[in-house]
Formats: sequence, structure tokens, C-alpha cells
Amino acid sequence: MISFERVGKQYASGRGEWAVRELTLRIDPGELVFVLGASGAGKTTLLKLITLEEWPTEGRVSAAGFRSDTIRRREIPQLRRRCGVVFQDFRLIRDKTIFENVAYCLRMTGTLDSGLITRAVSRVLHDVGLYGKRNSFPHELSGGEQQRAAIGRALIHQPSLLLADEPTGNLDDATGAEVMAVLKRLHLAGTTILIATHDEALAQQHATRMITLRDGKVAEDLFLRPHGTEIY
Amino acid sequence: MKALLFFLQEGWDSLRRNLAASLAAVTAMGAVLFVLLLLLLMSRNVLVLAERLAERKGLTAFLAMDLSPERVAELHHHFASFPEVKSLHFIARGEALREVEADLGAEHLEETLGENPLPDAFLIQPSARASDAASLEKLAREIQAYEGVEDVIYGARWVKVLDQSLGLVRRANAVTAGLTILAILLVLANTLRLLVLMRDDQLAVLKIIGATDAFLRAPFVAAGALLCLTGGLIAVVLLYVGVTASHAFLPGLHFLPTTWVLIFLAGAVIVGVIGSLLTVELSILNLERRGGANRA
Repeated sequence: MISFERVGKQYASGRGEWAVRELTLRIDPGELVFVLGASGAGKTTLLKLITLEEWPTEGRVSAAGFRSDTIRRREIPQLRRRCGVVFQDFRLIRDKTIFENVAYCLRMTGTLDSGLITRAVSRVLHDVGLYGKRNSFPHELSGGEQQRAAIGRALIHQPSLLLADEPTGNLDDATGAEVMAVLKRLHLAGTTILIATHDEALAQQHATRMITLRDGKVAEDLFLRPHGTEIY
Repeated sequence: MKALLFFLQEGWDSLRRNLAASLAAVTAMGAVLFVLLLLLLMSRNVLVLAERLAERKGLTAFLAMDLSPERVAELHHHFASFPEVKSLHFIARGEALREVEADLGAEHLEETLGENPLPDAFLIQPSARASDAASLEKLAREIQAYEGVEDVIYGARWVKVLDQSLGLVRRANAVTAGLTILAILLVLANTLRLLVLMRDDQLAVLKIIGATDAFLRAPFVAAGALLCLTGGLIAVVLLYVGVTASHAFLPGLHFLPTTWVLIFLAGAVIVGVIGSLLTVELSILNLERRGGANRA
């Protein structure tokens, strides 16, 4: 599903600090992996390397059937659609309703049939428990609801891999738990999930595997429970 | 078609969301296009005038007195075979005298003068290719060289002035069109850069979640085309109102033919699309450089 082979990322075109270095990892389908580490440890860079928002300075990243050393520029959007991405600050389009925010992602792939869009978006909004708020604008929703809408947007292409960067970082415990409940349901349905967080307690509670980064390197890689044995 | 409507809607929305900038852009675009349209109007009217004058372009070859009918027929045959000659009309001296009498409102001029002083003549209409001053002069010299031709006259001076004026109009049109395109590109570049900046975060997110560059560009290209079309329509309406109002003191002023107006609007849209593609390409590249993919 995902592999890093001796991957290094140095910012500022080779003159700056190494964000990650000599990273070798393999994440299998169906895992729920938490990537832990302090600020600047390389968690976000690791996620960005998967979607090729950042390119490795050395080594090779493979994800969702594409390899960083062979992928063509025009294939990058396909890679990104196979990986749903969820951000800490939700990043919904302010002047579009929740329905439109999710539908927009379908339209950008050329799906313009309104019946098809309505069915697909409704299904996803049901999955994240927001169908009743489909006509609300982002600012009319709570943080937890906005994050669930963002997860809905990430799911519209039915990705086999979901990447979440501090998905509960801006939320209180109760709304954070709501979001985690949605992510766990997705994991149970077979989606591979990679969550970057600094919240070790959250990881201990939910992860099948915990990878701790320190100074851009893997400091610890713990398999907490095998796939399919998680207790929800 | 659905995709086109979707992107037009998106383009329209982005213009509506940034109403002040969009209105400023449409005003500037309208003003720039109005200047071009004004020049087109002048060109149109000069062309109408030139067409009328061109109908009067021609040479008159006066023949020697007492030329035999056989020689006149030979000359007719020769001149008619010139590729530069579109039509040829023989005016017998008697007919010429009657025309003079009609023009002067006089009768029995021959009796008064004792004889008809006018020679036979050919009225020669040059072909369109030979209507410029240089070709007319060459044709006149060739005809003059034939035995039996006494003199050849044509409006050499006004033909030259007309040619120079038309050339000037064409050059002015080309320069103004060039400057207009440049001005449109500058207005578009500023407006679209602003629109891209206003949606900066949104575009970055869309890119990360899998939008293609073409999808990101399309609404801005639609916005650029809409800006140019609106500016063009404003310019056309203003000019039409202006021409209609000026009929009181410029009754001969012609408005542009519908074809010209349609070509003008289509041209504005095409320039809008091309300008937007160039501008948005740069803005999206900047976006990528600021926060997007860094292939180190």
C-alpha cells in the first residue's frame, strides 16, 4: 500500500535541514497507523511525501500504485484522489454548502451528472453523519462537524488510503472522539488510515501500529495489535 | 456543454465574489475596447468613402481626331485584352458633346463653336488589383504609347491621397489593435492575479485533493472570457448610442456592420481566453512554488 525506501527530504533545494532522512517503512492495506512525534519531527512531511506535495530528495516513495521516481506529472491528481486527505484546519470552501464542498470534488473529476452527484454525496454525508446538515455552510457547523465534512470530502472518491494530519488537533475531546469514531468505522470497512498526531494517548487508544519519528528518523515502530483484532 | 456551463458558472461566481475588482476590470476593459471600436468605426467610414471614390477611379484615353473606325476598333480590342482593365467604354465625340451640353444646360454647341472640338475617347475602368496609384500610372503610360492615342488622364493626385489614407488607416488599426491586446492582457493579468490570490488557499487544497491544473485554470479562463465579453458589449452599446446621437450633425456616419461587431466580440473573447491561460498559468505556477510540490 505504502512504502518508503531510504527516503530523505531536504528543504530549500539541498541547503536546508533534513525534514526526514533514511526513512524506510512499509504500511500494509488495512492498517490504522498513527505517526507520532514532536513538532518538526517530520510527521507532516511524511504525509506530504505520500501525496507528492513534497518530493523526496533521495530514496523512493510508493503509494496507491504509483512510485515517486516514475510517476508522470499528469498522474499526480490520480494518486491524490486515491489518497483521501484530511487537514487539521478542515480547509472547506467557505462559500459553498457542505453538499457543494463534497460535490465539488466529484465535479473536478469530470462527473457532472447531477443525479449521480446527488447519490454519491448523499451516501458519503450519511456515512459521516452530516446528511441533515448538507445545506449548511462551513461556518454554521461545529469544529467536529466541519472535520467530518472534510472526511466526507476525502471519501468521495472512495480512496483505499486516508491520510489525516492532526485531525483532532483543533477539536475538544468530545468532538475529537466523534471524528475518531468516523475514522474507526472507515478502518473497519477496510480503508488504510495514516494519522499524524502528537497525541500519544489517542494513538495508544486506537492505533494498530504506532510509528514515532524523531529528527526525521523512525525512533520507534510498534505493532500494538494485529489487523482485525481491534476492539471498538 | 455541461462542463462549459459549470466553468462559466464558476468563473461568474469568482467575479461576483470580488465585485469591486471585477467592476474595475470591466470598466477598464470596456474603455480599452471602446477606443479600438472607435477606430474600427473610423475605418469603416473611410472604407465606405473609399469604395465610393474607387467607383470613380478610371482613365480617359482621348483619341486623335479623324481616327478611322478600323483603328478605333483595333484599339478597343487591344485595351480590352489588358488584364488590368476591368471594363472599357467607347464614347464617340458626338456623344461626348451631348454630355457636355447636358452638363452645361446648353444646346447646339457645335453650331455655336463652328465644329465639335471633342475627340473620341475610351473610358477605362481598372480592375481591383490595378486600382492603386502606381498601377494606374503604369497603365496610363502603356495606353498613351499606342498610335492614335492623344492623351490619357486620370485623377493621379487623389488616387495617391486615397491610397495613402487607406494605408494609414490600416497601419493605425494594426497599431491600435496591438496596443489594445497589450492593454487587455495587462488588465486581465492584474484582475486574474487578484482572483487567484483571493482563492489562494482554496486552490492549494483543491490541488492536494486531486484537482488537475486544467480544472484549476478553467474557472479563471472563463472569468477572463466573461470580463472581455462584458467589456466588449459595453463598448459596442456605448458606440451605438454615440453614433445614433451624432446622426443629427453627422448624418452620413455609418455604424459597424453586424459581422464586424460579432468578429470584434469573438476577438475580445479569444484574447480573453488566451490572456487568461497565460496569466493563470503563471499564477498557478507561483502557487505551486509558494506551497505546493517541491521537487528537490
